[in-house]
Formats: sequence, structure tokens, C-alpha cells
Amino acid sequence: MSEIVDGFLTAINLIVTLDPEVYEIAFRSIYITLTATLIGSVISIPIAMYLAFHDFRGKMSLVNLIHTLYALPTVLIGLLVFLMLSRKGPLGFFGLLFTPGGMIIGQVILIIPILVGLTYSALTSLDPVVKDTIISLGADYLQFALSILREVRFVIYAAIAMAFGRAISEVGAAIIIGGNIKGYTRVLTTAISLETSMGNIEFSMALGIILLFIALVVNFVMTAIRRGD
Amino acid sequence: MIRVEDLQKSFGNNPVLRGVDLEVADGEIFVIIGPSGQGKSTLLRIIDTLEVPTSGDVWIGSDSLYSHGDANHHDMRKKVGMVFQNPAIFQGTVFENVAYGLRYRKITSEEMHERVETTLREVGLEGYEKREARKLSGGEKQRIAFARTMVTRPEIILLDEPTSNVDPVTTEKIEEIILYTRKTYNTTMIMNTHDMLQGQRMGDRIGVMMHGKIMQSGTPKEIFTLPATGEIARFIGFDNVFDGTVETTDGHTAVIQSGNTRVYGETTLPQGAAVTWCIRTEDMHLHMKERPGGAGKLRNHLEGRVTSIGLVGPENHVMADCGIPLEVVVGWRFADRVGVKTGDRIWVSFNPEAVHVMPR
Repeated sequence: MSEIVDGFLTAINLIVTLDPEVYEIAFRSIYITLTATLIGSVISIPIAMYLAFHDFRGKMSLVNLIHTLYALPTVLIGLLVFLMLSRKGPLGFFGLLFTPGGMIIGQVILIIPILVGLTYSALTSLDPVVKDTIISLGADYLQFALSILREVRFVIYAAIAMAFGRAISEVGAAIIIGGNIKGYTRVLTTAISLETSMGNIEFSMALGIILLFIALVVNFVMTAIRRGD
Repeated sequence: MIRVEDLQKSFGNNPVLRGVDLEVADGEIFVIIGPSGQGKSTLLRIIDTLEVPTSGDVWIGSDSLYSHGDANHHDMRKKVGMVFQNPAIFQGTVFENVAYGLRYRKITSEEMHERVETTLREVGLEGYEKREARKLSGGEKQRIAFARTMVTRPEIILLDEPTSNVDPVTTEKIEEIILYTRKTYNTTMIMNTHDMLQGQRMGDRIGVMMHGKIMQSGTPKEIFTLPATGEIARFIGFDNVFDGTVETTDGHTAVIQSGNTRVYGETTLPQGAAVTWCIRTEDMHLHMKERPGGAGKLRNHLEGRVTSIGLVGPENHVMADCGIPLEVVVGWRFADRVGVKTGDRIWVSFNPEAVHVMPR
């Protein structure tokens, strides 16, 4: 028990004294995940809108598949992206394996089902009269899309927060695609995994506390946006 | 002017519109009445391009809505506005809600403010600009919906049962707004309603929609006094509707064999014609004794027995078997004075001109 308390106190000390290694890992995590979340949102929201407002054969099967992919194992994504980005893979010529760029690709693939699925659910549960009213008022396609998104924005904010949380906390894909290279692809989760296996509990706990703190900040920001609205 | 030509619409194998033809003049209020599920809302949604017809076309002035695919839907849609039965109120203030359509038209901020404020004044919501729209009452929300459509100054406003979910005071207010809009902006309106009295109050003309078609259209007086079919007669409130055959006729007044009796009715239909005839309950008189001298000028003086009496507000609805099951309305004072009760022998009299005869 005292080991945990000592570890916790040392971790707090590392955070308070602005330990450069701790903060470098934390900022890299935030940078990679924020970028992935941004890219994932830009890709997912139009897909969700297309799914919600167009009918085509196999649509429901696709929606079911997307819901199933919420629970896609991160190591599987890691393996898939690794195969794609490896030197002999179809995208190997980009040279993205063991780079932050490759890790961003992995996280984007991880969060797209969540973002598409939750946005699609929000759009399809919207009162159809809202859609009819927007069209009836003379909106063109872009105005229609923006107006509809405005009506479901709180659900989309929640989906983005959830996607960010899932991406920043995953470890399997980050290790396989990033390789946990110190000073380059090492992020909070991979560092915790490594440091714990090496017996550096205090360092791991400091990173864990930062990870938790980031989750709290994301939630706080989302709540503030909602209240401000 | 709006012209609807042979409009048909099916959802899967279920035909909803079966050839609707309609013309509405500029500045006219055309009211569509009809039972639920007959395609009234679908017709408005097609005119507003929210649904695509299976066949047929809609013309707004000289522009066709459907003969060129959906290429000019967007421009045409800006000429048409629609107010829905359950209005969608967007998140935000009353101002933001009313300004929605104006933002799509990219007008200046000054003009937007001026038009929103003018329109809110016109619908009686002056000073509501900054209030949270979703927190207002149902009637106020419906007025916001009307203002949101009205502020874009459409040539045509489609009203899909706009007062079906509001109280009588709000209904009156919304009717005033509709009439004001027509008078001020010469807006053409097509309004669906299940409230026939509202149709009578608001409509320059009324169309009765049944089985996916406009079965009859005309002025309110024509519709409510001269229904074209027995089905329409029943729908618009005739309680006494019967089938019969013209037995004899002098070319003006016919004797119609109906059930186990004969009635005189004014019609030019020939002898042997299969007819439906109807009469309003208030056009008949109930007698507890046979009239001295029989039918006399009234011509129709049917003997029968009271089968039941029902109270509807201050009125007694007396059901009598006179060879046909007639329903006669008498005031409660009269009913009390004569002491009419079930089983009594009675006579019912009415004029041939009160009998409306239709070919069957």
C-alpha cells in the first residue's frame, strides 16, 4: 500500500516540477489524438449524413457493421495498418510505419465507426419535420447539411469527445504502428505499458494521472460548450 | 397561379394520389377538406417538392416543377412556403428561428432585422426576439412557424392543418394572420383542415379530397348545400343520406322511392334514375299529430315511430323509423313541451326543395 502512495506522491512531483519527458510524451499524445479526431470527424460526419438521408441497397447491413466496429480490437487495427504501411504493403512507399503519421491513421480508423454511428443515430432520430422545414425554407444542399448539423450538434460534440477518449486511451495499435520510439512515437499509453514493465511505477502513475486529467478536461470543455450554447 | 395536373403518387404498392387536378388563382385561399389518410398532406408535400410524384405535374405560373427532373426545384422552392401541423422549432431564439429562411437567401443584416421585426409584429409576437423559442407555448410556436414562412415573402403558402393542435383562441389568431397575409401580400394559399367550419370561414373555394382525388370543389356554399355524392354529403355533415330511384317526375319535382317510403325532391333526373338524396336535420319538422290536411304544400309528411333520442348539447336528436331511418333535430324546450319519447308515433315533414338529389 505504501508503495502505491509513494508512487502517487512521486508522480505528482514529476507533474508539478514539469518533468520534460513526462510533458513531451503527454503533448505528443494530445497532438496525435487531436489530429486523428479532427480528420476522423471531417471524414465521418459527411458519411453519416449520406447514410441518414439516402437510401441504397445494403444500407442497414452497413449500419449494423458500423455498430459492430465500435468494439473493433485495437491490436487488430494495429495489425491491419502495420500490414498496409510496412515496406512491402500497398502504402509502404509513404514511409509512415513507426511515425506519428502512421499512428494518426490507426486512430482515425479506430474512431470512424464511433463518429459515423453516433452521428447517424442522432440524424435519424431527428424529427423529420425539422428536415422538411429546412428544405421548405429554401436551403441548398450545403445550407441543409449545416442546419441539420446545428440541430444535432450536442450529440456530435459527445461523439467527438467519446472518439477522442477512445483514441487517446488505446495502446495496441499505438505500439504496433508507432513502435514506442522514445522521443518520436512514444505516447502516454505506450509509455505507461513500457515503464510499468520496467518497474518505473512512479513514472507510469504520473503519465496515468495526466491521461485521466486530459479526459477530465475534454469532458469539461464539452460541457462548457453545451452550457454556452 | 398554381395548376396541378393529373397528379399521382404511390408509396410502394399503395396509391395515395390517384389523379389530382386543381387550379388555384393568385391571392386565392383554397381549402382542402377530407377524411384522414386521403392524401391531403401528400399533395401539399408534392407542391412543396418534399415528395416527388409518381406521375403528373405541378405548375407555378408558367414554370413546371417536375417536367425537368429536380433541376429547378431549389429556385421554385423559394416561391413556396409551408407551415406544418406540428411545427419544428429550431434551437435558439425566436429571432434566429424566424430568420432561418432569410439566411438561406443571403440578404443584408439590416434587411433581415427589419423583416423579422415587421413579421413578428404582424403575427403578434413583437418583443419576443430574444426569447428561447422552444420554451414558448404551442400556439406561440405555431405563430413562429407562420412568421418563419411569411418573412421570406413566398408567392404561395401551404398550410397543413395549421390549427389542429392549438386552442380556439390561438386558432382565431392564426386565422386572422392567414387572412391578413393574403390581404397584405396577395399570397396564394392552399390549406388542409379537418375542421369543416374553418374551411367555410377561410376558403374562397373548398375542395373535398377522397380516395386520392379532389371529388368536388366549389364555393363553401356550394359544397355545404350541394354535395356531389352521398359520401361527400355524409362527410360534410348530412345525417340523412339515402339511396333511391326516381319513380315519377314532372321534370322539376320527382317522387323518389327510397326504403319503404316515397319522398318528393326537386331534381331534373329522369324516371328510373338511381339516385342518392339527402336532407339536413334542421330542414325537417317533427309533429306529434298528423298535420290537418296532410302534407299540403310541404309534399313530404312521413309517418313513423321514434326509435331513440340522443342528447347533443342543447339539442335532441330524434331517430325515427319512417320507412327510412330519419334523424330530426329538435330543441330541448320543444322536446320537453311535447314530451316526445321512444316508441311515440310521430310525423316528419319537409319541403321538396330541401331534398338534395344526386345521381348515384
